[in-house]
Amino acid sequence: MKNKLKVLRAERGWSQAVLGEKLDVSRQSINAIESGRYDPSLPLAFKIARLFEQAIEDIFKDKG
Amino acid sequence: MTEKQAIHRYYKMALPAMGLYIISIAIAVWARDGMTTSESIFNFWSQGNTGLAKAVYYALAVIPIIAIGGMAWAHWRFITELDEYMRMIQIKALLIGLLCMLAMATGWGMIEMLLRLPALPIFWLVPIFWLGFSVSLGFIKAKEKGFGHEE
Repeated sequence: MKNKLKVLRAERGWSQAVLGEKLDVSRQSINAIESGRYDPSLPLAFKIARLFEQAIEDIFKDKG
Repeated sequence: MTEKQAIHRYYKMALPAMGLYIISIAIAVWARDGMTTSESIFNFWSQGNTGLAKAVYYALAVIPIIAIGGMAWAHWRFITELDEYMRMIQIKALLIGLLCMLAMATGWGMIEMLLRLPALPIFWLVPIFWLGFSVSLGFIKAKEKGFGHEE
């Protein structure tokens, strides 16, 4: 699954560690989500969407 | 809770449990040797009292089980305290550790049967499991590090 987490984070000038703190997850998790190696659970996806004040489908794009 | 705090809590519980496991195995081996060595303290006090000796052996068999329970509980708590991605890494490594243990048990069992090699004491399966887990966790983490991180 593709996502624009890296772009959204960069727009705010946050590091992966800072975003991790805001979402209560590790920096490694942010790195894995951004690079598409890991798809977050629905609760974490909602948390990300709330933080960036966007809909989930605007942040995460299904490949299909 | 941060990963660092979770690791600290894990070691606080897991290290004493591991220590208890190692000590209990060492005592059990010493007690077993006491059966055959006449000058052993164990042989001396259990001589002529096989009922007492058996009770001690049962007690010695239970101690490592308690230690394993402690290790399992520490690990379970640790995994639940991690975030979902780190938890997935831990579960992957645990599964690989389990597969190593099953492969070793099956492989050694076949060798024992076909080549009549000495039996591997079954309590070695626990260290084999933890070794498989640790090595695979190291590989997975090294692979993750290879992806680097961006600020």
